[in-house]
Amino acid sequence: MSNRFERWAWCAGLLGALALVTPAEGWADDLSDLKALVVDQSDQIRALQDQVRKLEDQSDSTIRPGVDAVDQRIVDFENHPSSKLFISGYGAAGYNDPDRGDGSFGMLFVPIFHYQLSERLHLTGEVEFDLRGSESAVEVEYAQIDFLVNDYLTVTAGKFLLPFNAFSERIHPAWINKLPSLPPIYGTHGGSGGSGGIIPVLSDTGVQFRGGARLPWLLAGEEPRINYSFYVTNGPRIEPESEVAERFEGLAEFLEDDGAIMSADDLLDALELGHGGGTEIEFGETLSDNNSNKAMGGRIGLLPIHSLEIGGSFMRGGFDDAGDLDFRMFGFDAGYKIGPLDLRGEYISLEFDRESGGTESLDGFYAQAALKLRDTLAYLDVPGSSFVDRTELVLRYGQVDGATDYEEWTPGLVYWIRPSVPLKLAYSFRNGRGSADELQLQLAFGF
Amino acid sequence: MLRHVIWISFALATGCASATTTSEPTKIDGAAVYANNCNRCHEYRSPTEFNGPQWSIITTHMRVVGGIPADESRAVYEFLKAQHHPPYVAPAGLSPASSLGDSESGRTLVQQRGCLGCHVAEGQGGTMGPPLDGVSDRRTETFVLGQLRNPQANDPASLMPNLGLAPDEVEAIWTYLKTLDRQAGP
Repeated sequence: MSNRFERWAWCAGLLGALALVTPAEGWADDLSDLKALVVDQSDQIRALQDQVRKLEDQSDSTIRPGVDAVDQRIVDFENHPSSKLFISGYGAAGYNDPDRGDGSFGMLFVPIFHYQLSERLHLTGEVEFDLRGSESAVEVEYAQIDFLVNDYLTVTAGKFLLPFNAFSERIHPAWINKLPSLPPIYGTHGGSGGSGGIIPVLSDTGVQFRGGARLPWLLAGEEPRINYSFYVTNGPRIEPESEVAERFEGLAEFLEDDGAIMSADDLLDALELGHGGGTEIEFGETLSDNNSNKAMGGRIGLLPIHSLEIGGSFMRGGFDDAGDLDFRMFGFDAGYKIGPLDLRGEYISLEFDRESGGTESLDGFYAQAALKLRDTLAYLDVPGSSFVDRTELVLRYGQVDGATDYEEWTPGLVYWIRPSVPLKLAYSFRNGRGSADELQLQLAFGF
Repeated sequence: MLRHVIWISFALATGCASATTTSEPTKIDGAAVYANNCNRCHEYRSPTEFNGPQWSIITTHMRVVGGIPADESRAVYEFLKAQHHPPYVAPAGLSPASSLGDSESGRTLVQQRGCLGCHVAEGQGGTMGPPLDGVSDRRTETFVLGQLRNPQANDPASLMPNLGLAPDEVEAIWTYLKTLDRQAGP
């Protein structure tokens, strides 16, 4: 019995050992096959990598000459004299419909010519074709040569826009100004008083020194900047009275002597015929100087952070033919961008001597807020639309205080067809100086 | 009076000129200057709207009128010129397969290609364009990939320059953008 059991045990042991040995040999074969496969695949990958590198080298050596040729053509183009001349500019077509009187279409076209004489010498000129109002007007708004002396000083000579506050020089072009009209403190052309604002968009002939710099030591973590400009120009002149005004002045004085209930000055004011017995300054109407007393002014702008600029301006000089009457002007401007909101405001104070003795003063300001709907809705997590994404709401308030006060509210809407093509719709609510409310529609373009 | 003004300006110029020789040149990000400054006065003009010589004249004019520091004006010009005519980049060889679609590569690309000049990512960057934080929640993959390949395909009026990104770069940036949380930021 025991022998029989031992035989069975031996057989089982042998079978078990055989079962254990036989699979191990099969796995070893598989492993060696797998190793051979991996080596083979690696060789193939290396071969493919070599081929790709060769193709890349080939493509580079094929493309490179073409790229170099294109680069050379670009360099030739950039150095060609025709590339030194560049025409930019802006314009606007609009419709104004006042509450009193008839509505009318108008057109403004303002090409700007730039010519780069050298890296340091630039010529710039702007011609304004103004087809608004009762007659067309062509005017050289500025024609200047800029000499870039170094990184911190540029000398400008010729007729240039005066950097008195920011609006005149930077903001007034129709494609930049977010409303169809100018702020109430600015008139288009002409002098102080009337409904023409305190001063026009100023340009004058003379010489200017200006520049800008970063002030990294002033405020840690920010990059404050400063910019400056100082200029000496021919200055304004005393505004001559019109023939009509002179005739009415005689009539008014006669009526006053005859015991009329209205004084001569009040009558002339009511008829909007100029001075009303006072004195007016006329800016930028002539190129030559009417006296030896040059006007002098300047502006300092400070940007404590990149989104905020605060500026202070001044200008003074003589304006009558004899150079005895002086004017003194100062202003402040500020512009701040915070997210979708664009805030801007300016203040101007003008004081000048009167022919009859004493002084006259005018001052005023405007404040404007513009809100881009796209960024506002994104902030509020509200889905926009193609119309809303391009729309901006604008609200401006302005007032002028002087012999006669004036104030204006102008809400408006801008639809940005392109970043340089705004379609603007606004309505001005006006109060004072015999003004009328007005609907304004304008399509402006910058190019 | 005129003589005084000229003398003061001359002294300023001389002083500043000597200052330029002693100060250390600072590397300025033209894209950031463009994004932070131009819209203080006007809407952004597309970098591809004008060519190199035109941008040279425009940026000089803006330097004069806007009181932009000269070094910043030059940096903006270099940025705008590069957008109009991106430099040719030779094939850089085989990329390791693991880097394709890698978010870290995308993050590096976003930093190197000047995207932060106009967009906020991880709470940093300009505000000219929409924020990249949370963009994958707001936009579809098709839109974002299309925008990266050709910005004007989604909106012909888009100001975003065509960066000429390679397909694997587009993938890498998209992989990175998907990791950006909407609430990211300081």
